[in-house]
Amino acid sequence: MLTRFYRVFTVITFGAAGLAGAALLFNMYFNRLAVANFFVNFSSFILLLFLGIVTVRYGVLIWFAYLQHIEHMQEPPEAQEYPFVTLIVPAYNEGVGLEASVQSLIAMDYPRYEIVVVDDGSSDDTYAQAMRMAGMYGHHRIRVITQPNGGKASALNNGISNARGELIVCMDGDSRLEPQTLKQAVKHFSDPSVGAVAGDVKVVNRLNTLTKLQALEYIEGLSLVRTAHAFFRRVMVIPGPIGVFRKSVLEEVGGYFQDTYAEDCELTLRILFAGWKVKHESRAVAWTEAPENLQAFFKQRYRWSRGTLQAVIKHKSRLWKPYPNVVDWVFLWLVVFESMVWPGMDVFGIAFFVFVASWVGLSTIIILWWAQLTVLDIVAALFCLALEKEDLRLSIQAVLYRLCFIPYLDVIKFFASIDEIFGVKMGWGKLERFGRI
Amino acid sequence: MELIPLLSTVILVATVVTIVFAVFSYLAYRAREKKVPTVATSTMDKQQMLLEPQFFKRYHPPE
Repeated sequence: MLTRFYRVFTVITFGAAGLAGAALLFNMYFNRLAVANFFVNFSSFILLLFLGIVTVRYGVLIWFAYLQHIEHMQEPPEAQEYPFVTLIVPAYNEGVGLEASVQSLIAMDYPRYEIVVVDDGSSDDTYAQAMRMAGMYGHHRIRVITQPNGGKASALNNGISNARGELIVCMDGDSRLEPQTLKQAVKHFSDPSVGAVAGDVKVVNRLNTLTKLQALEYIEGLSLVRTAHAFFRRVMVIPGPIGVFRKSVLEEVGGYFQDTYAEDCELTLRILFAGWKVKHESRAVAWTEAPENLQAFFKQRYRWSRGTLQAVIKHKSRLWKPYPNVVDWVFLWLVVFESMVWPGMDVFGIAFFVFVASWVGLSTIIILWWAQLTVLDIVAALFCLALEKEDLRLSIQAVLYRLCFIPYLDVIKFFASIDEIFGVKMGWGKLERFGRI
Repeated sequence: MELIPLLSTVILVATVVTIVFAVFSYLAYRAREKKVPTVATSTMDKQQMLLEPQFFKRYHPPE
Protein backbone atom coordinates (compact mmCIF):
# COMPACT_ATOMS: atom_id res chain seq x y z
CA MET A 1 0.00 0.00 0.00
CA LEU A 2 2.78 2.39 1.02
CA THR A 3 4.83 1.49 -2.07
CA ARG A 4 1.81 2.17 -4.26
CA PHE A 5 1.35 5.55 -2.56
CA TYR A 6 4.96 6.45 -3.21
CA ARG A 7 4.68 5.40 -6.86
CA VAL A 8 1.57 7.50 -7.41
CA PHE A 9 3.11 10.37 -5.49
CA THR A 10 6.25 10.19 -7.63
CA VAL A 11 4.26 10.36 -10.86
CA ILE A 12 2.17 13.29 -9.58
CA THR A 13 5.27 15.12 -8.41
CA PHE A 14 6.99 14.56 -11.72
CA GLY A 15 3.97 15.92 -13.61
CA ALA A 16 3.74 18.90 -11.27
CA ALA A 17 7.39 19.72 -11.96
CA GLY A 18 6.74 20.15 -15.64
CA LEU A 19 3.55 22.13 -15.15
CA ALA A 20 5.03 24.45 -12.53
CA GLY A 21 8.13 25.12 -14.61
CA ALA A 22 6.11 25.77 -17.78
CA ALA A 23 3.63 28.07 -15.99
CA LEU A 24 6.32 30.19 -14.42
CA LEU A 25 8.37 30.47 -17.61
CA PHE A 26 5.22 31.45 -19.50
CA ASN A 27 4.37 34.09 -16.90
CA MET A 28 7.89 35.47 -16.94
CA TYR A 29 7.94 35.61 -20.74
CA PHE A 30 4.86 37.84 -20.82
CA ASN A 31 6.22 40.03 -18.05
CA ARG A 32 9.34 40.44 -20.11
CA LEU A 33 7.35 41.61 -23.13
CA ALA A 34 5.70 44.28 -21.01
CA VAL A 35 9.02 45.95 -20.30
CA ALA A 36 10.20 48.35 -22.94
CA ASN A 37 13.73 49.24 -21.94
CA PHE A 38 16.39 47.45 -23.99
CA PHE A 39 18.70 46.75 -21.07
CA VAL A 40 15.86 45.33 -19.02
CA ASN A 41 14.81 43.16 -21.94
CA PHE A 42 18.37 41.95 -22.40
CA SER A 43 18.77 41.27 -18.67
CA SER A 44 15.47 39.43 -18.57
CA PHE A 45 16.62 37.31 -21.50
CA ILE A 46 19.84 36.35 -19.67
CA LEU A 47 17.94 35.49 -16.50
CA LEU A 48 15.35 33.59 -18.51
CA LEU A 49 18.12 31.67 -20.25
CA PHE A 50 19.63 30.82 -16.88
CA LEU A 51 16.26 29.63 -15.58
CA GLY A 52 15.88 27.56 -18.73
CA ILE A 53 19.22 25.85 -18.13
CA VAL A 54 18.29 25.15 -14.47
CA THR A 55 14.94 23.71 -15.55
CA VAL A 56 16.50 21.52 -18.25
CA ARG A 57 19.18 20.31 -15.83
CA TYR A 58 16.60 19.34 -13.22
CA GLY A 59 14.31 17.83 -15.87
CA VAL A 60 17.07 15.65 -17.35
CA LEU A 61 18.28 14.50 -13.92
CA ILE A 62 14.76 13.71 -12.68
CA TRP A 63 13.88 11.90 -15.91
CA PHE A 64 16.89 9.58 -15.84
CA ALA A 65 16.59 9.07 -12.08
CA TYR A 66 12.97 8.04 -12.65
CA LEU A 67 13.96 5.60 -15.41
CA GLN A 68 16.64 4.18 -13.15
CA HIS A 69 14.07 3.84 -10.36
CA ILE A 70 11.70 1.87 -12.64
CA GLU A 71 14.56 -0.37 -13.75
CA HIS A 72 15.66 -0.82 -10.15
CA MET A 73 12.18 -1.99 -9.11
CA GLN A 74 12.38 -4.79 -11.69
CA GLU A 75 15.69 -6.12 -10.36
CA PRO A 76 15.76 -9.15 -8.01
CA PRO A 77 15.17 -8.03 -4.41
CA GLU A 78 18.47 -9.39 -3.12
CA ALA A 79 21.59 -11.41 -3.99
CA GLN A 80 21.29 -15.00 -5.22
CA GLU A 81 24.91 -15.79 -4.27
CA TYR A 82 26.88 -14.59 -1.30
CA PRO A 83 30.58 -14.05 -2.09
CA PHE A 84 32.89 -13.41 0.86
CA VAL A 85 33.03 -9.69 1.66
CA THR A 86 35.57 -7.64 3.60
CA LEU A 87 34.41 -4.42 5.21
CA ILE A 88 37.25 -1.97 5.73
CA VAL A 89 36.89 0.70 8.40
CA PRO A 90 39.67 3.30 8.21
CA ALA A 91 39.84 5.14 11.52
CA TYR A 92 41.83 8.22 12.44
CA ASN A 93 40.85 9.66 15.83
CA GLU A 94 37.38 8.13 15.55
CA GLY A 95 37.24 7.18 19.24
CA VAL A 96 33.86 8.93 19.58
CA GLY A 97 31.95 7.01 16.93
CA LEU A 98 33.98 3.89 16.12
CA GLU A 99 32.12 1.53 18.43
CA ALA A 100 28.68 2.45 17.03
CA SER A 101 30.06 2.14 13.53
CA VAL A 102 31.52 -1.34 14.10
CA GLN A 103 28.42 -2.47 16.02
CA SER A 104 26.32 -1.66 12.93
CA LEU A 105 28.63 -3.90 10.88
CA ILE A 106 28.32 -6.82 13.30
CA ALA A 107 24.53 -6.63 12.84
CA MET A 108 24.72 -6.97 9.04
CA ASP A 109 22.20 -9.31 7.42
CA TYR A 110 24.77 -11.22 5.33
CA PRO A 111 26.21 -14.71 5.85
CA ARG A 112 29.87 -14.37 4.84
CA TYR A 113 31.94 -11.35 5.77
CA GLU A 114 34.80 -10.03 7.90
CA ILE A 115 35.56 -6.60 9.30
CA VAL A 116 39.01 -5.04 9.12
CA VAL A 117 39.54 -1.92 11.24
CA VAL A 118 42.62 0.06 10.18
CA ASP A 119 43.84 2.50 12.82
CA ASP A 120 45.65 5.24 10.93
CA GLY A 121 48.06 6.24 13.71
CA SER A 122 45.36 7.87 15.84
CA SER A 123 46.39 10.05 18.77
CA ASP A 124 43.22 9.23 20.76
CA ASP A 125 41.93 5.85 22.02
CA THR A 126 40.78 4.59 18.60
CA TYR A 127 43.23 1.69 18.54
CA ALA A 128 42.41 0.60 22.11
CA GLN A 129 38.69 0.72 21.32
CA ALA A 130 39.17 -1.27 18.13
CA MET A 131 41.24 -3.90 19.96
CA ARG A 132 38.48 -4.31 22.55
CA MET A 133 36.10 -5.25 19.74
CA ALA A 134 38.52 -7.55 17.89
CA GLY A 135 37.62 -11.23 17.72
CA MET A 136 34.89 -13.55 16.49
CA TYR A 137 31.22 -12.61 16.45
CA GLY A 138 29.34 -15.70 15.29
CA HIS A 139 30.76 -16.40 11.83
CA HIS A 140 32.24 -12.92 11.47
CA ARG A 141 35.71 -11.92 12.55
CA ILE A 142 36.87 -8.41 13.41
CA ARG A 143 40.56 -7.84 12.74
CA VAL A 144 42.49 -4.72 13.71
CA ILE A 145 45.51 -3.29 11.94
CA THR A 146 47.46 -0.24 13.03
CA GLN A 147 49.84 1.85 10.96
CA PRO A 148 51.71 5.16 11.23
CA ASN A 149 49.46 8.05 10.17
CA GLY A 150 49.33 8.10 6.38
CA GLY A 151 45.85 9.34 5.49
CA LYS A 152 42.56 7.65 4.62
CA ALA A 153 43.75 6.38 1.24
CA SER A 154 46.77 4.73 2.82
CA ALA A 155 44.62 3.12 5.53
CA LEU A 156 42.17 1.79 2.95
CA ASN A 157 45.02 0.41 0.82
CA ASN A 158 46.45 -1.30 3.89
CA GLY A 159 43.03 -2.80 4.60
CA ILE A 160 42.64 -3.95 0.99
CA SER A 161 46.03 -5.68 1.08
CA ASN A 162 44.90 -7.58 4.17
CA ALA A 163 41.41 -8.35 2.92
CA ARG A 164 40.35 -11.91 2.24
CA GLY A 165 37.09 -10.99 0.56
CA GLU A 166 36.30 -11.24 -3.11
CA LEU A 167 34.37 -8.00 -2.66
CA ILE A 168 35.54 -5.04 -0.60
CA VAL A 169 33.38 -2.48 1.17
CA CYS A 170 35.20 0.80 1.76
CA MET A 171 33.57 3.12 4.26
CA ASP A 172 34.32 5.87 6.77
CA GLY A 173 35.16 5.28 10.40
CA ASP A 174 32.20 7.44 11.40
CA SER A 175 29.54 5.79 9.20
CA ARG A 176 26.82 3.34 10.18
CA LEU A 177 25.54 0.85 7.61
CA GLU A 178 21.97 -0.42 7.38
CA PRO A 179 21.68 -4.23 7.89
CA GLN A 180 20.43 -4.92 4.32
CA THR A 181 23.31 -2.99 2.70
CA LEU A 182 25.50 -5.95 1.73
CA LYS A 183 22.70 -8.13 0.32
CA GLN A 184 21.43 -5.23 -1.75
CA ALA A 185 24.82 -4.13 -3.08
CA VAL A 186 26.25 -7.61 -3.73
CA LYS A 187 23.46 -8.63 -6.13
CA HIS A 188 24.81 -6.21 -8.78
CA PHE A 189 28.06 -8.17 -9.02
CA SER A 190 26.28 -11.08 -10.71
CA ASP A 191 26.96 -8.97 -13.83
CA PRO A 192 30.69 -9.61 -14.50
CA SER A 193 31.14 -6.18 -16.11
CA VAL A 194 30.21 -4.33 -12.90
CA GLY A 195 33.38 -3.19 -11.12
CA ALA A 196 31.85 -1.25 -8.25
CA VAL A 197 28.58 -0.20 -6.65
CA ALA A 198 27.95 3.13 -4.97
CA GLY A 199 25.63 3.15 -1.99
CA ASP A 200 23.38 5.90 -0.71
CA VAL A 201 24.57 8.28 2.01
CA LYS A 202 22.17 9.90 4.44
CA VAL A 203 22.72 12.46 7.18
CA VAL A 204 22.08 11.08 10.66
CA ASN A 205 22.40 14.24 12.77
CA ARG A 206 19.44 16.31 11.56
CA LEU A 207 19.62 18.49 14.62
CA ASN A 208 19.83 22.06 13.35
CA THR A 209 18.97 23.96 10.18
CA LEU A 210 22.42 23.48 8.67
CA THR A 211 22.37 19.69 9.08
CA LYS A 212 18.75 19.50 7.86
CA LEU A 213 19.75 21.44 4.76
CA GLN A 214 22.63 19.02 4.24
CA ALA A 215 20.24 16.09 4.71
CA LEU A 216 18.11 17.52 1.93
CA GLU A 217 21.15 18.18 -0.23
CA TYR A 218 22.41 14.59 0.18
CA ILE A 219 19.04 13.38 -1.11
CA GLU A 220 18.17 16.04 -3.68
CA GLY A 221 21.59 17.20 -4.80
CA LEU A 222 23.93 14.24 -4.52
CA SER A 223 21.71 11.16 -4.65
CA LEU A 224 19.60 12.49 -7.54
CA VAL A 225 22.72 13.00 -9.68
CA ARG A 226 24.09 9.58 -8.70
CA THR A 227 20.79 7.84 -9.51
CA ALA A 228 20.56 9.60 -12.89
CA HIS A 229 24.15 8.62 -13.75
CA ALA A 230 23.41 5.05 -12.65
CA PHE A 231 20.95 4.67 -15.52
CA PHE A 232 24.03 4.72 -17.78
CA ARG A 233 26.08 2.58 -15.33
CA ARG A 234 28.37 5.58 -14.99
CA VAL A 235 28.22 6.79 -11.39
CA MET A 236 31.02 9.36 -11.33
CA VAL A 237 31.70 9.46 -7.57
CA ILE A 238 31.47 6.43 -5.30
CA PRO A 239 30.90 8.11 -1.94
CA GLY A 240 33.49 7.62 0.81
CA PRO A 241 30.98 6.34 3.42
CA ILE A 242 29.79 3.41 1.27
CA GLY A 243 31.41 1.91 -1.82
CA VAL A 244 31.53 -1.78 -2.76
CA PHE A 245 34.31 -2.93 -5.11
CA ARG A 246 35.60 -6.09 -6.69
CA LYS A 247 39.00 -6.67 -5.12
CA SER A 248 40.40 -7.62 -8.52
CA VAL A 249 39.29 -4.24 -9.91
CA LEU A 250 40.97 -2.34 -7.08
CA GLU A 251 44.15 -4.29 -7.77
CA GLU A 252 43.87 -3.64 -11.50
CA VAL A 253 43.54 0.13 -11.15
CA GLY A 254 46.08 0.47 -8.33
CA GLY A 255 43.91 1.14 -5.29
CA TYR A 256 43.50 4.57 -3.73
CA PHE A 257 45.95 7.34 -4.64
CA GLN A 258 46.76 10.24 -2.36
CA ASP A 259 47.47 12.89 -4.96
CA THR A 260 44.03 14.51 -4.71
CA TYR A 261 41.78 15.62 -1.86
CA ALA A 262 38.90 13.53 -3.27
CA GLU A 263 40.40 10.05 -3.41
CA ASP A 264 36.95 8.44 -3.87
CA CYS A 265 36.17 10.51 -6.98
CA GLU A 266 39.62 9.93 -8.44
CA LEU A 267 39.39 6.16 -7.89
CA THR A 268 35.93 6.05 -9.50
CA LEU A 269 37.24 7.80 -12.60
CA ARG A 270 40.06 5.25 -12.93
CA ILE A 271 37.60 2.36 -12.57
CA LEU A 272 35.35 3.84 -15.27
CA PHE A 273 38.26 4.54 -17.61
CA ALA A 274 39.40 0.94 -17.16
CA GLY A 275 36.10 -0.05 -18.78
CA TRP A 276 34.15 -1.19 -15.70
CA LYS A 277 30.53 -0.32 -15.02
CA VAL A 278 29.76 1.51 -11.80
CA LYS A 279 26.20 1.11 -10.50
CA HIS A 280 24.17 2.64 -7.70
CA GLU A 281 22.12 0.84 -5.06
CA SER A 282 19.70 3.07 -3.20
CA ARG A 283 18.98 0.38 -0.59
CA ALA A 284 22.64 0.11 0.42
CA VAL A 285 22.50 2.89 2.97
CA ALA A 286 25.26 4.49 5.04
CA TRP A 287 24.39 7.03 7.73
CA THR A 288 26.98 9.72 8.26
CA GLU A 289 27.55 12.70 10.51
CA ALA A 290 27.35 16.04 8.71
CA PRO A 291 29.23 19.14 9.92
CA GLU A 292 27.15 20.93 12.54
CA ASN A 293 28.62 24.41 12.17
CA LEU A 294 29.46 26.64 9.24
CA GLN A 295 33.20 26.59 9.85
CA ALA A 296 33.40 22.79 9.58
CA PHE A 297 30.93 22.78 6.68
CA PHE A 298 32.98 25.33 4.73
CA LYS A 299 36.18 23.33 5.28
CA GLN A 300 34.58 20.05 4.16
CA ARG A 301 33.00 21.45 1.02
CA TYR A 302 36.07 23.48 0.05
CA ARG A 303 38.12 20.27 0.25
CA TRP A 304 35.54 18.27 -1.75
CA SER A 305 35.38 20.92 -4.46
CA ARG A 306 39.13 21.20 -4.85
CA GLY A 307 39.50 17.42 -4.69
CA THR A 308 37.01 16.87 -7.49
CA LEU A 309 38.78 19.45 -9.62
CA GLN A 310 42.14 17.83 -8.91
CA ALA A 311 40.72 14.47 -10.01
CA VAL A 312 39.44 15.98 -13.27
CA ILE A 313 42.69 17.87 -13.87
CA LYS A 314 44.62 14.62 -13.30
CA HIS A 315 42.62 13.04 -16.13
CA LYS A 316 42.43 16.21 -18.24
CA SER A 317 43.97 14.56 -21.29
CA ARG A 318 40.76 12.52 -21.57
CA LEU A 319 38.72 15.70 -21.90
CA TRP A 320 40.08 16.12 -25.42
CA LYS A 321 39.82 12.46 -26.41
CA PRO A 322 36.19 11.49 -27.01
CA TYR A 323 37.23 8.15 -28.51
CA PRO A 324 37.16 5.22 -27.93
CA ASN A 325 34.61 5.68 -25.14
CA VAL A 326 32.29 8.59 -25.92
CA VAL A 327 30.05 7.94 -22.89
CA ASP A 328 32.95 8.29 -20.43
CA TRP A 329 34.05 11.44 -22.23
CA VAL A 330 30.56 12.97 -21.93
CA PHE A 331 30.38 12.09 -18.24
CA LEU A 332 33.83 13.56 -17.55
CA TRP A 333 32.59 16.81 -19.07
CA LEU A 334 29.51 16.53 -16.89
CA VAL A 335 31.77 16.42 -13.82
CA VAL A 336 33.51 19.58 -15.09
CA PHE A 337 30.12 21.20 -15.64
CA GLU A 338 28.72 20.25 -12.23
CA SER A 339 31.85 21.09 -10.25
CA MET A 340 33.13 24.18 -12.04
CA VAL A 341 30.92 25.63 -14.78
CA TRP A 342 27.61 25.29 -12.96
CA PRO A 343 28.70 26.99 -9.68
CA GLY A 344 30.36 29.74 -11.76
CA MET A 345 27.15 30.25 -13.73
CA ASP A 346 25.11 30.24 -10.56
CA VAL A 347 27.31 32.86 -8.88
CA PHE A 348 27.20 34.96 -12.06
CA GLY A 349 23.41 34.51 -12.29
CA ILE A 350 22.88 35.60 -8.67
CA ALA A 351 25.23 38.59 -9.03
CA PHE A 352 23.55 39.63 -12.27
CA PHE A 353 20.10 39.17 -10.73
CA VAL A 354 21.05 41.33 -7.71
CA PHE A 355 22.53 43.99 -10.01
CA VAL A 356 19.51 44.14 -12.30
CA ALA A 357 17.02 44.03 -9.44
CA SER A 358 18.72 46.79 -7.45
CA TRP A 359 19.39 48.99 -10.47
CA VAL A 360 16.11 48.59 -12.33
CA GLY A 361 13.95 47.60 -9.36
CA LEU A 362 11.80 44.93 -10.96
CA SER A 363 9.93 43.47 -8.01
CA THR A 364 7.84 41.09 -10.10
CA ILE A 365 10.89 39.65 -11.86
CA ILE A 366 12.63 39.11 -8.53
CA ILE A 367 9.63 37.23 -7.17
CA LEU A 368 9.23 35.17 -10.34
CA TRP A 369 12.94 34.38 -10.53
CA TRP A 370 13.04 33.17 -6.95
CA ALA A 371 9.63 31.46 -7.12
CA GLN A 372 10.60 29.49 -10.22
CA LEU A 373 13.84 28.26 -8.66
CA THR A 374 12.18 27.46 -5.35
CA VAL A 375 9.29 25.61 -6.99
CA LEU A 376 11.82 23.57 -8.95
CA ASP A 377 13.73 22.80 -5.75
CA ILE A 378 10.59 21.84 -3.84
CA VAL A 379 9.36 19.61 -6.65
CA ALA A 380 12.78 17.98 -7.05
CA ALA A 381 12.98 17.54 -3.27
CA LEU A 382 9.52 15.91 -3.12
CA PHE A 383 10.43 13.63 -6.02
CA CYS A 384 13.69 12.52 -4.38
CA LEU A 385 12.16 12.17 -0.91
CA ALA A 386 9.36 10.03 -2.36
CA LEU A 387 11.86 7.87 -4.27
CA GLU A 388 13.91 7.26 -1.14
CA LYS A 389 10.87 6.94 1.13
CA GLU A 390 12.20 9.73 3.31
CA ASP A 391 10.27 12.14 5.51
CA LEU A 392 8.45 14.48 3.08
CA ARG A 393 8.53 17.28 5.66
CA LEU A 394 12.20 17.74 4.82
CA SER A 395 11.04 19.43 1.59
CA ILE A 396 10.08 22.51 3.66
CA GLN A 397 13.81 23.19 3.88
CA ALA A 398 13.84 23.71 0.10
CA VAL A 399 12.87 27.37 0.65
CA LEU A 400 16.00 28.09 2.69
CA TYR A 401 17.93 25.70 0.47
CA ARG A 402 17.42 27.99 -2.53
CA LEU A 403 17.61 31.27 -0.65
CA CYS A 404 20.80 30.68 1.36
CA PHE A 405 22.29 27.18 1.08
CA ILE A 406 22.83 27.01 -2.71
CA PRO A 407 24.36 30.53 -3.01
CA TYR A 408 26.64 29.81 -0.03
CA LEU A 409 27.73 26.48 -1.52
CA ASP A 410 28.29 27.96 -4.96
CA VAL A 411 30.50 30.69 -3.56
CA ILE A 412 32.60 27.99 -1.82
CA LYS A 413 32.89 26.06 -5.10
CA PHE A 414 33.70 29.25 -6.96
CA PHE A 415 36.58 30.18 -4.61
CA ALA A 416 37.77 26.55 -4.48
CA SER A 417 37.98 26.50 -8.29
CA ILE A 418 39.89 29.80 -8.39
CA ASP A 419 42.29 28.61 -5.65
CA GLU A 420 42.86 25.28 -7.38
CA ILE A 421 43.61 26.97 -10.70
CA PHE A 422 46.15 29.26 -8.99
CA GLY A 423 47.58 26.41 -6.85
CA VAL A 424 46.80 28.04 -3.47
CA LYS A 425 48.06 25.89 -0.58
CA MET A 426 45.63 24.03 1.63
CA GLY A 427 45.75 21.51 4.48
CA TRP A 428 43.83 18.26 4.99
CA GLY A 429 42.16 18.99 8.31
CA LYS A 430 40.00 16.58 10.30
CA LEU A 431 36.28 17.05 10.72
CA GLU A 432 35.16 17.22 14.34
CA ARG A 433 32.82 14.36 15.24
CA PHE A 434 30.26 14.29 18.04
CA GLY A 435 29.40 10.55 18.04
CA ARG A 436 25.87 11.07 16.68
CA ILE A 437 25.75 7.73 14.85
CA MET B 1 3.76 48.28 1.99
CA GLU B 2 2.53 45.99 -0.79
CA LEU B 3 3.32 42.30 -0.70
CA ILE B 4 5.40 41.98 -3.88
CA PRO B 5 7.89 44.79 -3.13
CA LEU B 6 8.15 43.51 0.44
CA LEU B 7 8.88 39.92 -0.63
CA SER B 8 11.31 40.99 -3.33
CA THR B 9 13.20 43.12 -0.78
CA VAL B 10 13.41 40.16 1.60
CA ILE B 11 14.72 37.89 -1.17
CA LEU B 12 17.21 40.46 -2.37
CA VAL B 13 18.54 41.22 1.12
CA ALA B 14 18.78 37.51 2.01
CA THR B 15 20.69 36.78 -1.21
CA VAL B 16 23.12 39.67 -0.75
CA VAL B 17 23.70 38.83 2.93
CA THR B 18 24.37 35.16 2.06
CA ILE B 19 26.89 36.08 -0.62
CA VAL B 20 28.68 38.56 1.65
CA PHE B 21 28.65 35.99 4.47
CA ALA B 22 30.11 33.34 2.17
CA VAL B 23 32.90 35.69 1.09
CA PHE B 24 33.70 36.45 4.75
CA SER B 25 33.68 32.70 5.51
CA TYR B 26 36.23 32.23 2.75
CA LEU B 27 38.44 35.03 4.08
CA ALA B 28 38.18 33.58 7.61
CA TYR B 29 39.07 30.12 6.27
CA ARG B 30 42.14 31.52 4.50
CA ALA B 31 43.20 33.31 7.68
CA ARG B 32 42.86 30.08 9.69
CA GLU B 33 44.75 28.10 7.06
CA LYS B 34 47.68 30.52 7.28
CA LYS B 35 48.07 29.66 10.95
CA VAL B 36 48.50 25.90 10.42
CA PRO B 37 51.30 24.18 8.49
CA THR B 38 50.16 23.24 4.99
CA VAL B 39 51.40 21.12 2.12
CA ALA B 40 51.51 22.71 -1.30
CA THR B 41 49.31 20.86 -3.76
CA SER B 42 51.97 20.83 -6.42
CA THR B 43 54.59 19.48 -4.01
CA MET B 44 52.19 16.81 -2.82
CA ASP B 45 51.44 15.80 -6.38
CA LYS B 46 55.10 15.31 -7.19
CA GLN B 47 55.77 13.32 -4.03
CA GLN B 48 52.75 11.09 -4.44
CA MET B 49 53.27 10.47 -8.13
CA LEU B 50 56.57 8.85 -7.21
CA LEU B 51 54.91 6.47 -4.76
CA GLU B 52 53.74 3.10 -5.91
CA PRO B 53 50.33 1.94 -4.75
CA GLN B 54 50.97 0.34 -1.40
CA PHE B 55 48.74 -2.68 -1.25
CA PHE B 56 50.18 -5.26 -3.54
CA LYS B 57 51.43 -7.44 -0.71
CA ARG B 58 48.81 -10.18 -0.82
CA TYR B 59 47.43 -11.40 2.46
CA HIS B 60 47.72 -15.14 3.02
CA PRO B 61 45.46 -16.38 5.80
CA PRO B 62 47.13 -18.68 8.34
CA GLU B 63 46.78 -22.39 7.46
